[in-house]
Amino acid sequence: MPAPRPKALVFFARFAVLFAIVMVPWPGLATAFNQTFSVIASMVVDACFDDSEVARFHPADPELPADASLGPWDTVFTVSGGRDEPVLRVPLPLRRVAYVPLATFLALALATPVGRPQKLRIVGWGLGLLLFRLALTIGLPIARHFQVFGQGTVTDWLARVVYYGLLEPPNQMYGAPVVLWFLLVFANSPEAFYRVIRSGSTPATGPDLGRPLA
Amino acid sequence: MTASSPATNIPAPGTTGRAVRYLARFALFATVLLASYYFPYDPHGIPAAFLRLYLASYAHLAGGALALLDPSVRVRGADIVGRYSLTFAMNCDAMDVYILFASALLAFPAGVRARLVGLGSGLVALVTLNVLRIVSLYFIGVHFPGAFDFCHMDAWPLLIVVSTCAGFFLWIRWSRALGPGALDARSEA
Repeated sequence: MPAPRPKALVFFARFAVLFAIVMVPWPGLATAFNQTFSVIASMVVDACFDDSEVARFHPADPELPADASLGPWDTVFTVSGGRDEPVLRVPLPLRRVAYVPLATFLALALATPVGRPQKLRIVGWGLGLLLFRLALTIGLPIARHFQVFGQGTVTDWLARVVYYGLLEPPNQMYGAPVVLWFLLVFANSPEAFYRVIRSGSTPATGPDLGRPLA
Repeated sequence: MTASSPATNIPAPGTTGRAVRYLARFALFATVLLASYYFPYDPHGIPAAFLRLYLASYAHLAGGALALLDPSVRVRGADIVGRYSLTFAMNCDAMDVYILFASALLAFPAGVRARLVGLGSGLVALVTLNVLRIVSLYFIGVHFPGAFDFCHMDAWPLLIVVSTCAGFFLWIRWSRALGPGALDARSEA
């Protein structure tokens, strides 16, 4: 009888394949992601601004002088008051702030050795929380630009701590989805987490940390 | 392994609380450490002066390592100057990764000795890796400036996060191998 493959190796092999697939710069991927994101995000921000202001995301157009340094992964967020020139114009590197964290988390979650219901729960919570993180990444600097939190208030320094500690560092492009995956897997199924880090193929016996939370 | 009855698959009482406690401890450690480091201190105050001193010391550490390979390298404050110039800013020290690693490790239900050994060796390894990152970025800036952004923003963050995870997972396996005493209720923070 062939020896069973170590669960950890299976997990890492699955993750490596999935991660490679989502990281390959497939033709049209950047444009499709950018356009989809811009349409959905524009609808969302529309609800956040009053009728006198127009807030939009639109994929960068390198033909325009203002967007000359931007690429297919960049979108531009503008806020303008009616026919006036934009009062705010923020280029956003979508690959770094949105695509890589979401894709990394999906690859990790799909490779995790848990049943389908648990996997769906992990994917659902993870993507939801990463989208919330994305909203903060975009929203906090804009809110501070408009001084929504005031200056020197508790909310203002909290916003700065969250932004500079968890959202802005390049490491968090990968760090945020990995930490989120670890916490969700650990909360949902500690035994699955121990299966992932265990090199043997025998049943895992991690410390008893409880039943699924989410 | 969860404490559930095979016949009913009902978790034993109190087990959910232990997972919740882990997550709560992680959140608490991470919040306190992140807030301490990223707090917008008064630039003229003592904490900001300490922070500048720390960043300058880190720049000197990285500059010292670089000077072994390129004697033209000098460090002025938090600036590394040579054939390619680097400014050592907050986050260049990978503090966000140190903090999340330390929080996950300190919150984990293991013995005090296991935690201290893991924290000490993990942080030393991470600082070494980060210095290696700065050294490599300097030479990439000198020889392949076109690849600097990719290495700085894509490749090194991935390498640092993967290494941190690998270290954390290895530490968990090691701490569990110490035996049940490392995981008993008394050892929990």
